Amino acid sequence: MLSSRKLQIGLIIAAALFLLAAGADVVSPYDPLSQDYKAVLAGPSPAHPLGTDSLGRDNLARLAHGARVSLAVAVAATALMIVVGLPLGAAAGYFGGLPDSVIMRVADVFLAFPFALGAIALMAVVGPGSGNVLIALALFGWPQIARVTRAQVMNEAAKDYVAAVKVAGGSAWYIIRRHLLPNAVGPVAVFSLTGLSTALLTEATLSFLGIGIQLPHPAWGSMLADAVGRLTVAPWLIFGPGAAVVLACLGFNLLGEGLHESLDVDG
Amino acid sequence: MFAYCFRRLLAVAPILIGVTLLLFILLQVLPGDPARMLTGYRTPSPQALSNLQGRMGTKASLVGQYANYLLALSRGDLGRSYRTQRPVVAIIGETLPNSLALAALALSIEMLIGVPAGALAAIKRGSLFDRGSMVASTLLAATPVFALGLLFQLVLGVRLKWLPVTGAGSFSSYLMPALVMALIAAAYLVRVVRSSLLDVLAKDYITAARANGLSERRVLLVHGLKNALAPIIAVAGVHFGFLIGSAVATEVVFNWPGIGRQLFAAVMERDRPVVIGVTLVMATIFLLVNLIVDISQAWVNPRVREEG
Repeated sequence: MLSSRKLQIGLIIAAALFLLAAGADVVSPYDPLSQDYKAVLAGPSPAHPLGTDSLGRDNLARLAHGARVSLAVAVAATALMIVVGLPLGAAAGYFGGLPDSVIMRVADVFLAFPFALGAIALMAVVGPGSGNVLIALALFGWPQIARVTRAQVMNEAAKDYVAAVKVAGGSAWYIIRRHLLPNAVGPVAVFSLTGLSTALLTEATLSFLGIGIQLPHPAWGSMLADAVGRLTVAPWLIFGPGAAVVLACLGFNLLGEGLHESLDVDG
Repeated sequence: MFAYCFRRLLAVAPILIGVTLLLFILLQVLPGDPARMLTGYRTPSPQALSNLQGRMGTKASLVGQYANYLLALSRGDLGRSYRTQRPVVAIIGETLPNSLALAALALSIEMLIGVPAGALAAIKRGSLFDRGSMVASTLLAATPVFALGLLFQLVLGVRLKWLPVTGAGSFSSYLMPALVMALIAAAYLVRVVRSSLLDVLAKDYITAARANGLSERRVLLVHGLKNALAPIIAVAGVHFGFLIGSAVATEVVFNWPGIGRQLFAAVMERDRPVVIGVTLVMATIFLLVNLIVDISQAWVNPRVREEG
């Protein structure tokens, strides 16, 4: 399975980012929040390899500490999407009828909002903060997981062996857990990796707009916001966080595509 | 066909009601009393607060408030801005055309790039062009629209001085934001066109057309691209949702006077009626576009109608 080039590159990128996040204190000696008014918007130098921002904070330190927040929020949001979406999708697919209609109609309501737009509206009301970002991402992301799970479970539940297990007295819970969900794991995993990159991109968008991770805590999106209107004086502001977001999304997307190809599933 | 349209319309109605309910919760219920929020840090006299609650209609029960909200919506009333007291509908009416103009240009550029590039990649499968366009599309799909916007401003605006960096003065000011949105959207379109055309080109009727001696151009344009169209239409809805979502950050980066920047400004000013009104309008447009996509799919492909 690891022979896939996409999987290999994706894994390397993901590992590098998690290392950057874990070793944030080693990567840069500076505190990501401490401001140095003598070095405001300083260009790249040996002391500050990525320069400093408009408040004189070290960009490398903020980039590495921002990796912690961005990755943690994306992973936790995706996990929450699965925790909510998987059981609901499985129940809708297995029981059909009224439970199916109710669950999927509710899912449709959340899917009626373009993902980023729904998250923006919710964050506008509840205010910034990593916990709120997590909830916003999960709230508008779970229907996708539910849909994928539902389709897989429905497909599998229509097969003869499932009817045989039912006749033999297997409970709904047993059939779903033992026979139906294992078949959904592949597609859901593929979709979750894409979901991870969407979550990261959307968190970056929210933080860029100032309604994501609460300032002054570092986040890649808010670091990019610092560059708006300062491109003529400090063009280096966009390269670090820009490259970080692109790399992270690229890594997760490649992992998803690689997994898709090697599992050969319809995700 | 008529029955299908009717069924789709019927299916959209409960979703739209759910959308209004969710937005009503965000507008009136979640933050607590909107009248208290509006008065901010000052503590109003009980009489003033009661008057304000009466005027804002928040004295009624929640069910009553929701009914009033729906009633107002049916009259085309989205409420008034906390900030300026102007009707939200008027604010949207001023900014939406600018966004639609930008989106239309972005969509055109995207088609001009995405369809030929995807088709060429499929025809010359495995070639340098195919690999190159796939790498480019993988990279662009991972790029946030505002990061690409900043990069373009730096390179095309600040350094090369080819295009204005921000604003909406002349036609040239349309180009950069439209190009940024178009490029990222095209990253998805290229892939869909490529894989869809590859599927079609492997079909027997293409081999038959070639065996009948049709020119390669005719085979590709008449039989290939035409039949590859259905999956491309199918993803158009999702695609449009992506454009709406990315419009907000794009308009903020380029200071574009559209509905996205308006939404951002309202978020910053905690002007909740404007936030919720704009969101409702954008979600409704998204639902309608998806409805049109579904119906045109059914029109192109009768099998869809049967499945309902």
